[in-house]
Amino acid sequence: MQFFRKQFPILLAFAMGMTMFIREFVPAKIATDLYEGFTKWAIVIVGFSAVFAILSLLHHHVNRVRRKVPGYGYSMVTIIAFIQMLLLGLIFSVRPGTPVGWEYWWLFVPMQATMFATLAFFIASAAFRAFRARTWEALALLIAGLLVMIGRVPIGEFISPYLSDFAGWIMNNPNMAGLRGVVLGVALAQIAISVRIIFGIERTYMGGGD
Amino acid sequence: MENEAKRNFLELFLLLDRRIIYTLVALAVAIPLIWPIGLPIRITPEVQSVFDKIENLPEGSNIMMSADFDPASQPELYPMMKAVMRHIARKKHKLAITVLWPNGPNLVAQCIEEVKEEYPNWRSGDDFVFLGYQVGGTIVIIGVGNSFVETFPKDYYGNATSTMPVIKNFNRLGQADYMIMFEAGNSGDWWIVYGTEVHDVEVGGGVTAVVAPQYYPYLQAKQLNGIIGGLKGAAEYEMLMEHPDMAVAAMDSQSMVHALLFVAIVLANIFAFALAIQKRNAARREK
Repeated sequence: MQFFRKQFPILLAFAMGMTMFIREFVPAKIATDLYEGFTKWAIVIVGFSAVFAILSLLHHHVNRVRRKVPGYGYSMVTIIAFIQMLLLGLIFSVRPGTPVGWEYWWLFVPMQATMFATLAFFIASAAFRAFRARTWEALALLIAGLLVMIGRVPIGEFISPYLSDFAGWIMNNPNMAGLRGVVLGVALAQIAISVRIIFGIERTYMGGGD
Repeated sequence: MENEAKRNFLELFLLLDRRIIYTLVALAVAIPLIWPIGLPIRITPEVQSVFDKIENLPEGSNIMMSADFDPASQPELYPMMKAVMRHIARKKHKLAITVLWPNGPNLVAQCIEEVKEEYPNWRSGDDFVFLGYQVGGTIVIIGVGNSFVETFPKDYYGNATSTMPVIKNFNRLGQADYMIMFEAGNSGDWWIVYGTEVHDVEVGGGVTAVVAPQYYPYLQAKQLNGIIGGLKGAAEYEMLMEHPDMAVAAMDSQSMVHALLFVAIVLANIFAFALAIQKRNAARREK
């Protein structure tokens, strides 16, 4: 059993990782077939992972209700909402005109809209209180933020077309340069972590640290 | 005494009750909606590129669309999706639509219905296929790179995709002449990495204002041919279509809220600075 818990996943990750890596350099039909086959497997596996995610969510909330932890009422709402949505979806499908469609348009959409509309008010209040130029770096950030904020809407263009041009320059140059650094850093980290997983150095994906 | 009163005013302003700010924001949103100002909307090159690409493709070209957002981003992305979908229907291009977010398909279905009211001859199966949602993210993108039919055996409405006329010449991402993706998160990165770059498909992005900055590196690297950014981008597209709609109507409100925030932040900083100087002078006098 120890083999299936520890060594087997590492061997599997190594075999699959190396196969997909080598496949990239093999211009043969078998390589394409392999790729397409693995893609179909992956869709099935991801489907299963969604089922596990649902079970995990239910397990978490059922435990909260069973132990009556503070705020367990919210967990009850989650469970009831989940079960009724699941049943209605299975019985009537999820298309417009069905009960699930009704719940989507008349419960889910207004609730999300309300939440995000409220956010605009909080952001306004928070920006007024917290967006202060206490250092030179904060001042640079403040000026850039204000110019982009006003330059990206029609009133900025109405005040001066240069405002809009300058906002565009900020987006296309300093912003892009910074983000390009972030993107490259993330890509290199992804390569590094992939190599570590393929060679069994990184094992946290199996759970419980290494 | 005068200094005391001034300091009190500065402090009072900086401690402004949040309910007053909320009221001002509400007024800045509501008043221009009731009495529109009609501020001019200038077309940016990023939006023009997307429009030109769809406009200049020969009639009947294949266009892939991915609507990766949910109701939280609906105010920004729905108007631009509708404007682009309307453009595609007007140009009689073939369209395949996928959704990578589970709460997105109903929005697309609603948008299709609204466009169909304007273009009654625009038919599912003949002119477009709405593939719907499939769990998997990047895996779905790889899947549609291989085959729409195998990844989505049935469309959103439950019809078999394999028998649809639109699928005959448009069954995988590589057969698309252009792709447009509407993104509220980072699924756009996945489309570029696993989809459009692999299959050499030109792509444009319709994104929320919050995530727009993260897509600019792709624009300069020409991995995106254009960006429709936020509600303003949607308004620009509606203007290009000469069909002002929801986004154009909301532009004045957005402008007023941005102007209000601009003034509030600038005043708060000036007052905070003045208060700090007053406090420093007072401390010196006490010494």
